[in-house]
Amino acid sequence: MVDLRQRLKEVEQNHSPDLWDEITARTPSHDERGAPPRSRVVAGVVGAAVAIAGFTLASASFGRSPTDLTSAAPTQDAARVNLMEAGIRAVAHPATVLFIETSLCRPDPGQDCPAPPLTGDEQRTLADGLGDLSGDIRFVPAGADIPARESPDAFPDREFVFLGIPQDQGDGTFWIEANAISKGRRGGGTYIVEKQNGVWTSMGRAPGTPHWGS
Amino acid sequence: MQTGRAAIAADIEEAYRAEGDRLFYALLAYSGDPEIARESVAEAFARALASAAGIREIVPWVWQVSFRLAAAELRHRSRLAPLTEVQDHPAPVPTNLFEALARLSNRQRAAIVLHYYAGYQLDEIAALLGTRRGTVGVHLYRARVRLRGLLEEKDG
Repeated sequence: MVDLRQRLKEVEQNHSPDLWDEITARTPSHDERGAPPRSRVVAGVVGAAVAIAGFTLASASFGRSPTDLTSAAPTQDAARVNLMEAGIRAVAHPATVLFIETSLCRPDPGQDCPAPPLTGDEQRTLADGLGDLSGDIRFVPAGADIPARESPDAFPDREFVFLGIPQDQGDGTFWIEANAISKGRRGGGTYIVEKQNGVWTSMGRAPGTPHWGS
Repeated sequence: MQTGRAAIAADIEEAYRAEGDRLFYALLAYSGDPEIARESVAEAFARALASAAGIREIVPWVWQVSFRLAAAELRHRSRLAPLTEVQDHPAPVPTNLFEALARLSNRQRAAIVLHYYAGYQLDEIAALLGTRRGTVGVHLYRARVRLRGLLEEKDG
């Protein structure tokens, strides 16, 4: 019988770098405090005063979240498609072709995404609403479904956007993960979406969540 | 005599010296990627330094934060993978072990690494991963059966 403790010790055959100098010189991407996620919600002006511990993306990966990740239909009088549009606008650039992934997550093998993919109606609404970004908006189940000859990784005028499940923060805002990839450019993170003059609008990245960009 | 902040920094360095290697290796086993392991450890300890006064127990805190960072990066990469294949560093060894671990789900791998490598018990793993003890137990059971099978198969 395989001794798992012994086998896992084999990872120590690799080099472990001394990171202390890097740690002391590093500016953390945000200030993470140790309190439980729920106790860290601070209501206030969006974009400046929401602080939640933990990482939304990681929470999703581990199956728990400070909010209801399993809800496919947001509350607060928000249609999901409006939140999606705000998320897309947070990261997308004008492009000849804009690919949008219809799936809102990529679960572990054998598990289902807790939210259904973008519906046909939602896709039509987005295609209409995002006409200023691209005259050619195409929906794909996943990035892998984009033909190689049209890959946004190869063409600067094509962009691929994928989104996460909107999360109701219970304070009049939603958080939504949004990412965009184009040749030589990629970026994204978790964004705060709030209704401004009747329109759901991204108010910037949510504090305490991972983000990336190049 | 050290000031409060200097004392906290000293505590965090002590925690890093005591736990840094073990945490790096656990994250390496979990992610299969030295860069993710390195980044997650460095970022978690840097955040600890930046907000030390708010942390009650440094060690479990950095384990929790670094695993969440690694999980977020894995999830992010899983969605980028169809478009972008980035491999600019050597794969970790032994290959058989990492290939077998890669066949587990992220949650199964987290449970098995935290239990069999890091020595955490179910309750502690549940707290670190932000899930229930019973859920960890299920992941651990399934991961154990699957990983043993995969390693026996690979070992021939």
